[in-house]
Amino acid sequence: MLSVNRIALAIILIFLLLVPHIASSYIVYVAVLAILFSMLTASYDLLTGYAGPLSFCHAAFYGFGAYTSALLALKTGMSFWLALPISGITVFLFGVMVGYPALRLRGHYFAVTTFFFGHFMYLVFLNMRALTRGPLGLGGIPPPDSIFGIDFSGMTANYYLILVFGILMVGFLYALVNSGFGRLIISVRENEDLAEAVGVNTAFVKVMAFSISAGLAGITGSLFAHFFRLLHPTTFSWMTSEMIVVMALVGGIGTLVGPIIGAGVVTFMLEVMRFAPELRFIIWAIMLIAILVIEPRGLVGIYARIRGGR
Amino acid sequence: MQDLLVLKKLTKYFGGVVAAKDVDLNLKGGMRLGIIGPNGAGKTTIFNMITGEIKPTAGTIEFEGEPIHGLKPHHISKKGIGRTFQIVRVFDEIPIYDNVLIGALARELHFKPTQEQHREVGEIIEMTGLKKFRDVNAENLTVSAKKRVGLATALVTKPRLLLLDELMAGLTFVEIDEMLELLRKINEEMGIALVVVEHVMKAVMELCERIVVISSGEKIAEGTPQEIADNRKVVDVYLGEETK
Amino acid sequence: MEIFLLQVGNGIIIGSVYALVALGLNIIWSITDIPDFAQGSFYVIAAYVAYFAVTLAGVPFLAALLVGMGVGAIMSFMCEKFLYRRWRERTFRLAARTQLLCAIALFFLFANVANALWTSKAKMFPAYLKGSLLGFSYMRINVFLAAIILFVLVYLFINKTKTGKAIRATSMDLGMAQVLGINIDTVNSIVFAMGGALSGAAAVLVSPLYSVFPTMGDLPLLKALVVVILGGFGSVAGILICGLGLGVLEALGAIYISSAYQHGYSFIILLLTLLLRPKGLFGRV
Repeated sequence: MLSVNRIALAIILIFLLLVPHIASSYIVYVAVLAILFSMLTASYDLLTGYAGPLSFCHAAFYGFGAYTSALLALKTGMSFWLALPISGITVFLFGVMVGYPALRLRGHYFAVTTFFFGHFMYLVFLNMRALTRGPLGLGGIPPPDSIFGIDFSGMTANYYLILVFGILMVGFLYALVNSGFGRLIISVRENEDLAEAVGVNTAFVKVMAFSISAGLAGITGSLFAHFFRLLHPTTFSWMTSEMIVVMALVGGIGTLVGPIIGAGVVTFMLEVMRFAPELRFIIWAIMLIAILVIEPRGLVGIYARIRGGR
Repeated sequence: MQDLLVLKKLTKYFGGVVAAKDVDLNLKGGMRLGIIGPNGAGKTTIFNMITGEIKPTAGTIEFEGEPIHGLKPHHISKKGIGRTFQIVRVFDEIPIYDNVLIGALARELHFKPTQEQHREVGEIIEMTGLKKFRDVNAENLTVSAKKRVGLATALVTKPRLLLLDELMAGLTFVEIDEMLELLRKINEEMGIALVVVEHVMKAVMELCERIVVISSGEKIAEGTPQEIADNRKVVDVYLGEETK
Repeated sequence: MEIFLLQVGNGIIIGSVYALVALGLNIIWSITDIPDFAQGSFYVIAAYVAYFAVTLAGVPFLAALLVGMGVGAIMSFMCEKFLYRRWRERTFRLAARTQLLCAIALFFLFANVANALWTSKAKMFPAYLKGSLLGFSYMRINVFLAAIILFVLVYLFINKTKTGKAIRATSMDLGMAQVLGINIDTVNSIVFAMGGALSGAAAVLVSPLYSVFPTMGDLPLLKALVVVILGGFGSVAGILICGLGLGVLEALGAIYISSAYQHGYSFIILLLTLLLRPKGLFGRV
């Protein structure tokens, strides 16, 4: 990681640590969203930035994790601390199930198929009323139960919990992409046929990247569920998947830190424009097109260009 | 000497088109074999069947006594066969060192590459004359250097057989001589058998102990370089092309 | 039995819409390797413009249809010329992906522009024809008839005209086409304009049936994409069959299985088809 990346992350981190003490509840809510989206974009980057395939169904895994965790807590009284890992693993396995056939498709076919899959999952969330209560919303989700004497029913404590998970997740991803396996993942992105020819089991690597990415999104979903305590299918629609793609791209995929910055920037911008809901998405779309035209490698790419022309 | 690679009646049809027909081949360990023939004769198809990119329509391929036809490329790589590609392939946006390191990790995955692996990578980079490009991104190199990278990456997987597809294409005379020297070194010092598909006759004649000639998917001749050069059939097949 | 036939009829009609959009998408995708999501938004804008033409300017339906097609064609043409073309030469790894993302961004952009300008409240497109036959209004039957006519026109254009042959050559081998002196810029422009016109046509034809609203392009786009992949980039006829077929299967599924998941059936059909025939039904990829 470049030292500038580290400084940027450090600044972000300090800011995030101070938020509940210096800002209103509304800002804390926005910050939580920003952190959750950072986790989503970072996990998304593992697949799209590091392994290669462009996917549009990340929100589906986010939702799957959220509903699974919520239902485990509501229907079986399970503790959050158990529901979270179980959701993560469940979504991971689901990712394997979906990824294994889907990743045999290449390029645009895969991308478009994930698009359909994402939409399909949204339909499931919307229509399985018995489980999810569909458009009525699934509410009454309990906050994480206390451990070590810390009570998480308050916003501040829950906020810090999410922040800690965020840091852990980013740390995990960082370790993963820099590990031996991470290099194999990158090799698949750079030249899949060559990787296969030198002995990399590319099918396995792709499915793993896809599934780990999905599982992490599932864990993020669980955190979302137990913080906001109400789930609605529209939170997990293709719009959200698209939003994640945009955030990752704006920041710069393949760098981990890029998508996190992108998530922060876009979340902030969308909140600032809350007063004009129709305009929000227009500006967001224009922003995406602008990034694509000016520098497809996103903010990180723009920064690299300024620094030394790559 | 044990049979390293045995092809028996290897055949491939693409729809109605015969790419390879009843090709027999017998390669011993440590041998240097050349495969020549007019363009489109099926040479690369044979390579692709050996390395698993394509499944044969009929026939068998055995490596060190085990059948490998129909296996996936990464399995075959793990069994000890490495290759380079006609259109050179590298991992573009990462440095040379990392390119070769991937080959090492593919063979033996660790959470962090071991000291041993770093040493091997360093040695191979040195051997293939790439030391000064260690930290350069693969996409920024000349074609000739990229070919060396491809070779290095294949070498680090510790193959016992290397398949080289038109390695000499596009190289200058000086580069060809350097490459030949490198290949001889690889063969003699590391005991790796070489199968070389080539159009550059000088390279094949100088390097190979045995040559096989493929035309229209079929093997039409096999022998020492001298035997092949004297072979009337071969000359006919190459009418209009370079023969020496 | 009556319900079955009725649903088959409905399926054919909605399938005609899918087929039209799919035809445009297919031509664009097979020539330029771009899944042009933006067509879904040209669809929307074309419908609105036609609506205003009819309600404000009193223009007859046929003229409004042509206006809609024109709007679609122009928008599509402009997007290719000023955006997609930038990355046509594919000089960097992410170029193909950039085009796809641009298409998606355009889709969201124009759909939301429509929302911002004309609100999300649906606008009732006035009926242009009264009367019905066998339970289907003439307007509904028109959708199918118009689709057939357009398909025939496109088929003749692609297969019988010189320009059409140039386009087919480009889809088969870009390099060769350039060597032969075919102007790729012109081919791309024509292809995108055609796609836009077809999307516009589909939108205007369906407006009197279901009204005009900003998200009206979402589902037809999705379905059209399914049709394109199912059809496997094969023939014009293949697209028509797949489009109609999908419409019918969907309509029947809505009645006999469940109407809630109606829009999910296309995904299931796609998945099954891809598992069994990865190259699509009429595949040529």
